[in-house]
Amino acid sequence: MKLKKQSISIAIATTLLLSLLTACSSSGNDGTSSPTNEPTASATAQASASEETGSGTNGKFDPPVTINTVGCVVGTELFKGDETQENNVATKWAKESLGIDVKYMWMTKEDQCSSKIRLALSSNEALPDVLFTYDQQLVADLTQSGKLMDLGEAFDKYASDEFKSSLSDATLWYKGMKDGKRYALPVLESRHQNEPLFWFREDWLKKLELQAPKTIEDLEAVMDAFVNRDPDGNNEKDTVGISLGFANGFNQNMADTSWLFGAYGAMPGFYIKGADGKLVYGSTQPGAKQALAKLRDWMQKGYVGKDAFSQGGGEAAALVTNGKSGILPGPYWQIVWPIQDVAKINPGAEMRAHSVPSAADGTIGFRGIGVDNSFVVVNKDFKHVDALFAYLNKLYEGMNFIPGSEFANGFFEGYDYVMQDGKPVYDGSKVEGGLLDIRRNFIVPPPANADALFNNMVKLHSGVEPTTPAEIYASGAYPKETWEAAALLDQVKDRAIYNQFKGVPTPTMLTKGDYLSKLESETFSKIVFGELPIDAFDKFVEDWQAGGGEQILQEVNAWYASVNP
Amino acid sequence: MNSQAKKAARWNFSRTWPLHLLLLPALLLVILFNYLPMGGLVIAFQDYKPWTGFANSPWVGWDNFRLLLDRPDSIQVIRNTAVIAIAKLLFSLVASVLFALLLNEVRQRLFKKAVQTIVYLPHFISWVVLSGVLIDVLAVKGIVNGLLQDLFGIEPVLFLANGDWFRITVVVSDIWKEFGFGTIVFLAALAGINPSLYEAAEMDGASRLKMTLHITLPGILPMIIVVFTLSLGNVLNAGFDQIYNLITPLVYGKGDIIDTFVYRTGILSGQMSFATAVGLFKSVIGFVLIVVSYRLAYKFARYTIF
Repeated sequence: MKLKKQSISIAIATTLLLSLLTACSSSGNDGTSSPTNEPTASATAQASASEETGSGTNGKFDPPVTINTVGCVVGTELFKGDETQENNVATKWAKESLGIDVKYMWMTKEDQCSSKIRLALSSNEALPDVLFTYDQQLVADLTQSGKLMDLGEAFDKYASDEFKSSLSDATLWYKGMKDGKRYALPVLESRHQNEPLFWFREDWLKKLELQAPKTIEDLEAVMDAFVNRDPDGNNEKDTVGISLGFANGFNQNMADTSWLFGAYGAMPGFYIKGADGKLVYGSTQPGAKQALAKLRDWMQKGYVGKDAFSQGGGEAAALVTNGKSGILPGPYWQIVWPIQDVAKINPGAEMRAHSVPSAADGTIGFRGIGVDNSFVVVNKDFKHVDALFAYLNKLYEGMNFIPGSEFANGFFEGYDYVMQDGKPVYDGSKVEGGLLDIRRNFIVPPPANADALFNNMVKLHSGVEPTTPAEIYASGAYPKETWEAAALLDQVKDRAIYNQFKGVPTPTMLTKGDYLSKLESETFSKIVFGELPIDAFDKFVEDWQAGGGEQILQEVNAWYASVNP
Repeated sequence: MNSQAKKAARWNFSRTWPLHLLLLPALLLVILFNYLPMGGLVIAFQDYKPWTGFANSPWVGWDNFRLLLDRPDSIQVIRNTAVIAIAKLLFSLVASVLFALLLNEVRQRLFKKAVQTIVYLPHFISWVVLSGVLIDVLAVKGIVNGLLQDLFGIEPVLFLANGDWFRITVVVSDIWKEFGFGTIVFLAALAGINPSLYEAAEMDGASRLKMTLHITLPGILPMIIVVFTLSLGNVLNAGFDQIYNLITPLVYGKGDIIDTFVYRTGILSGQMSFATAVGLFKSVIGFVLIVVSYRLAYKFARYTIF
């Protein structure tokens, strides 16, 4: 028995060893097998590209530069064949055409990444050369630890002109700034992708002979009809007026209510510009009271279900999918999910986007979500920040379909696009075997020009034939309904209300913030539910001020003054 | 005499050392994972920053504890925690014991095993999944309210939106999930009761109820005391997973517990010192309760665990 066990463990050990050896030799092969003339060819190609883009550093790094990074994987990444996070088309490309070796020091689930980095900090382990993260607090912690490189100088020196111009708005850098230095490079997302529109069941509107509402008053009439006039025709009063979910607050992605608060000049949870130019808290504005009074009224009348408090956006949106609700506020990507499912489950259903309704005086306002939600930071001791920017410049080209770039049509044919009849195809459903979203195959998801996609969709909606690679991409990858939604948003985009505070949580936020937000959500919920009178709002404002809110506002305004001298 | 005792001890050890050796791995594990990390408790008294380490983080004394107790709602949160935890502790103990007794009366072996397995299965469902199910089932237009309305004409009950109902829902669903698992230990204790006691009682003409009251219950009483005493250490753990997944702002007043609040303030924003301070606070209270109940158990029932 004992012998048997021993032999098993020896067998396992030898297999492991063998697989290690083969892994080593195969990576060795990679280095030697690439023909010697190829690198020079690509180097010249790069040199010419660099002349076009005017970037300072390009060409292949020889000897190769190693970038140590860590993999914070979401878990839904897909790879082609036997490719992995550590060895895929993107890492091969980096090695072969840029001379950059990507090394993953470790990999873990994204939600544990910050903890793991903090642990590494506390045990004085080496930090990765390059780290991509969504965690602004982690960026702040790392900045404070004095282990980060001031990236501003390197960015100005090495970034390509296009990449630079995409980040010319100084406010985009605020989240990673300390003492006027830029420690974190923001990786931008596409603009307006989390701002609300309204989707209506057009077939219900038609059946009840209603118009899509322009104002909140019109909306109330439509909701009343959806509740009381049996829009689904089953002779049962089983529909709600509108899909709203409060489980995650009053300012969220799907089944959102920010448009109601915004119409009255408030915005829950955001620090917004007040009349005197200073920042004020969006939840304590008088408009919030009006919005809460409306929601309370709607809940009493059955426009909003009582379960809205235990429903998040997804659950509330499910009411639309199940044919129990005819109105769904939320971002334009809802077209793909859940709105595609509506017609499948409810035959004859037809949904269409409209702008959010306005207050009686025509005011429109809704949440605006910044595009600066993720960051790249670099270890102070990293010697080859030029290599990182050479890499990022290329990613920028591919993400934004820069004409003339090797990546003008996308990154890698057969991965994120395929060529059919000489034209790139981006719609995975039209390609045998589908397409892969390879953005997370890179050490940093490719930085987008925040405005490009949105503006192109608006253009396409106006009837412009796609000509540039970026327009062709927008027309191929996004359905027509998205263009329409983008065009609707475009008309009101300057009414988006943004959170002006982009600093890290202030000291008082850390100590009192949770109490205050609990106070807020409890009071708001109880007012809407009818457990507290509407005037409880005034007491909440007092309590909020006294419980630390005043201090927070001072700190927030001190930060604001420091970035807007 | 003394040397004799020593000699006896040595002889004893030379005979039993393999057994001690078996104990060693467990001992090492406890030292490594339970005692050594206690050194880290020092950060409860510091303004700990990971990059400065234990040695160089500034000392702040009781500030982190003050932060917990200074909150206007801290009394409420601690009370919620204690109420929910104690209710869970008592009712689940009663449920487990009662169920073990009932199961013990079942003579059909196969049936007994099947029931036992079925009732402890929910233990393995995660609260994330289960709360999704509960939210759906207990909704205003959910199955439960539908049944209540159809059968008894009761108006929809707001199980998760009303503070008192929320507590009841939390306690009942927790018991439903865990009582089967708690039963196992009592079934083991039941198996250890000397059958001759029952035979003797039967001779004397005792009914099943009498036997349960005078043989079975006293027989497992020590186990009940052990379980109760040990679970007192958890009196400030009201069940984070469950409450975090079920709570809505509407029921914060009666449902927000220490752990959900620490999660929001301590973990989400990386305030490790504060989270540690609260953990220490909970452990100290749990420890005091264990010591006191242990003494009481000894005083009133002459029963000791160790």
